[in-house]
Amino acid sequence: MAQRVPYIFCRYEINVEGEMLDDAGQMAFFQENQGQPQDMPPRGDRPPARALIMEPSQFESDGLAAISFYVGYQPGYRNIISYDATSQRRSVEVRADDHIKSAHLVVIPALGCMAVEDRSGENSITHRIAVTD
Amino acid sequence: MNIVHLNDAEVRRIVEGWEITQYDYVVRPLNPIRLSDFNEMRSDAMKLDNVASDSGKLRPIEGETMTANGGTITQVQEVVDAGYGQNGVRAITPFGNEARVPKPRFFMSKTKNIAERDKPRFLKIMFEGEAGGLGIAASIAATLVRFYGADDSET
Repeated sequence: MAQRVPYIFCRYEINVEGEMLDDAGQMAFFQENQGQPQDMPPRGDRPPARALIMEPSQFESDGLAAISFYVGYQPGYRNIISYDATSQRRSVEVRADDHIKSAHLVVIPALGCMAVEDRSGENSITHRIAVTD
Repeated sequence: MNIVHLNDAEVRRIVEGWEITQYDYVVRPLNPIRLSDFNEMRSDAMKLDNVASDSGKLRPIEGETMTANGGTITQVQEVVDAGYGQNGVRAITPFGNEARVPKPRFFMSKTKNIAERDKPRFLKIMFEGEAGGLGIAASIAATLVRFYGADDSET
């Protein structure tokens, strides 16, 4: 069923080792790095979250190359909350988990602009997590 | 990846080029600059009644849209551009999608208003479809090219 999906529009630059990537360089970057989880900064004693690029695909829009892909975010754990009716207490257990949340992005490398899906929930991450963390 | 959000010129292009469904603003009296006669009269009227700030929400006739054609929106925009106010807008893109730009925090200080607009300001556009689907990706790309690839005369 069709939904109304919010996207944040912005400009961007991709810098790899001090070098700005052009159209072809960006597509190559997405292809080479897709599916390769990168550890994010540690958060106390919890397992590190990981980020990855998924499903990059190139298409054309008004004569310009466009790239569609997902940024995946793997928290690495899940809080399982249970309830003990006898003691009338809730308990929280942290379990390792490989579930991936994601945000969809569309970029136009020649114009240096992008749209980032901006939702939160069980399967989605906000644009702040997708492009700034 | 470095991200750059909306700048004042891009917000102005939305206000001047897209069909507006809601325009939110806060303005204060002018001091010491002079703008249009309309804004001068509004500023003098505010000073006469000891009004510090005037905030409002402009809406079109039900089922219609507004455009900045030299009237109220254009006049408020001039005050905002000069740093004596802040604005937010809801509009319809040239491809028919709903867009929103939030209103930044308002200050009585012109310098602080302008500085506030340097903070990340988001252009949010709603698209119909399934995220990641071919249709939605094509529609998003066309909107990106139209907005960021256009010069000031077209959006």
